[in-house]
Amino acid sequence: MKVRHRVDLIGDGIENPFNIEAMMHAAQMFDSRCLFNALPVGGEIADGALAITSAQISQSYAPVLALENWKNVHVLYGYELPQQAHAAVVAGNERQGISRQVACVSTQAICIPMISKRLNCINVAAASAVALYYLCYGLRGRMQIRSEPQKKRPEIIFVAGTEHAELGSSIRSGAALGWNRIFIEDRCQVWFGCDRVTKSEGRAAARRGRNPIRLIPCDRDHRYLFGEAVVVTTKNLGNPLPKTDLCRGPQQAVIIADESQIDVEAENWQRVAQRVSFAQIEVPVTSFSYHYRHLASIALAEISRQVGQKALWKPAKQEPLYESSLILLAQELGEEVFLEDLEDY
Amino acid sequence: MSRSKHTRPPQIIAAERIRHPSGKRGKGDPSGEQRMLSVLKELGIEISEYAERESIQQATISATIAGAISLPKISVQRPRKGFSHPTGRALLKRALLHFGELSWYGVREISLIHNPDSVGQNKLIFGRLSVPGKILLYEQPHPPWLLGGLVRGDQRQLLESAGATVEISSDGARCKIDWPEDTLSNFMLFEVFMHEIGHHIIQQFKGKRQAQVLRRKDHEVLALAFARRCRQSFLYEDRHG
Repeated sequence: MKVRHRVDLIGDGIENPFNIEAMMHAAQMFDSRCLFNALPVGGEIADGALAITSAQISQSYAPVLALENWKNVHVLYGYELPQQAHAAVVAGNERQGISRQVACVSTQAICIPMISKRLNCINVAAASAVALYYLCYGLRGRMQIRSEPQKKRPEIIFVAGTEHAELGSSIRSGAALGWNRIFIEDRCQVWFGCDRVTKSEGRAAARRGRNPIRLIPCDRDHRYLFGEAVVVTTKNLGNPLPKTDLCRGPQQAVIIADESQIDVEAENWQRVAQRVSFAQIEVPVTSFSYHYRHLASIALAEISRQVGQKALWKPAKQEPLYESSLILLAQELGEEVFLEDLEDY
Repeated sequence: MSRSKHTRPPQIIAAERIRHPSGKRGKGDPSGEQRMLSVLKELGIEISEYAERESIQQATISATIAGAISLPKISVQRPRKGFSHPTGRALLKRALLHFGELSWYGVREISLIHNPDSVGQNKLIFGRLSVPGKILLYEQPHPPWLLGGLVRGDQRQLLESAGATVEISSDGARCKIDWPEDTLSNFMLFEVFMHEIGHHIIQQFKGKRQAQVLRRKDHEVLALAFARRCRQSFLYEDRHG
């Protein structure tokens, strides 16, 4: 599928080289350029990372969108870029966010709505992938407003995550986007049966210190009684993700598998539910560096959008109005003329 | 049949609250007076109960005379050319004073204003009650009214009972409504203004003033009945002094 808008990704003061690399791969996935402002001096820098200054950002791009969780900013879902805009989305430092200099040159700010009360952000590379997915393809629907969104939230099963940091970042995204529990089929033993270093790095990526999500281990031999299973994939299978109904509540399981490890077509998903369908994450390029956190975060963000949230305001109560009036049964075409007017005439 | 002292009729509550808008809820409660008198009696001070009551009543009457009891604000917007306000400020005041505090307790504002909706719509608006307590009375064109449509049967009956003459044109598509003498003024006073006051009283004494407390149909029936009673009472008083 061809992208509708050209959007470049700019990292502002990104510290972690793994995040720099993951951001570059996120941009590659959507056929965009990735540039960096204020790269860490003397640190390990990924090959091919291009630098840009805040002045150049201001000159080269319009609009410049700051991806931040500030108050009263535009929501990413439903945000439409102007036609033929050469936009840039700026993702800030992992801890401090966007710098003051870049904030000054940004024209608008957008945010990914966070449902969790304890986690207010997701991994910067995952957030960049989500932002590019929504901005590049144009309008994909707004955040739904429901009275009881929790009843519409499906269960999530992470299958065969190969990298502990990738799986940790995906778990963090899940918690921040509103899930209380996630099933994990840990085939590569990067989460439950791993060594101490892997475990601590994975927990750090998932922000386990303040992430209250419940992780339920499950095995590939287990059978489940879900009513429906939706397998999220980047292959050309099934409906596009925004056109798939992903808000059928706890009877629906959404399977997000690490496709660098398993072939989702060959896998027997009947063990999860009798009814299995596929949902495709459209990617404009055929080959890209696969990051589980990108695809998982995009899928979780789309489900979160469809599940929606409670209204942040209550509609104004209509006060009763009583009226005395004379209702005419058949109005003749023409004009009402009063005696006063006729006299004047 | 006994009655709790806290379930006083609306007439009494309305009068007391208007006289003492910031007073405590128990003000004027006879049991309070009784308690005070018994305490004074225990102390050896004897005050005639009747004398005490009389003094309270006298104070109320003098407050009324002095204008301490204020009517709701009546604002009048000058009518446009060809239009008029059939009920003026003076007539509205007279009617309110006649029907007592019950009729205006809780009314915040009465406005006589232009009628922007009257032209180009297939209805002629007379008045509105915007809950809580805002009554709008619209200016009306000078009679006779030549309307480009027919009026509903029940509305025709209402107009004719108020003294209007309704004539339908020979082609059956238009009608002419004429208001001889002061019938339009009386219509606006009773069938519109007191009708809206009737709606207001229903809302005011239900304790849920922001919500519709009755079905609209029942609301209308009760307001209509109230307006009829007011018309009879006011005109009888007018004729017989």
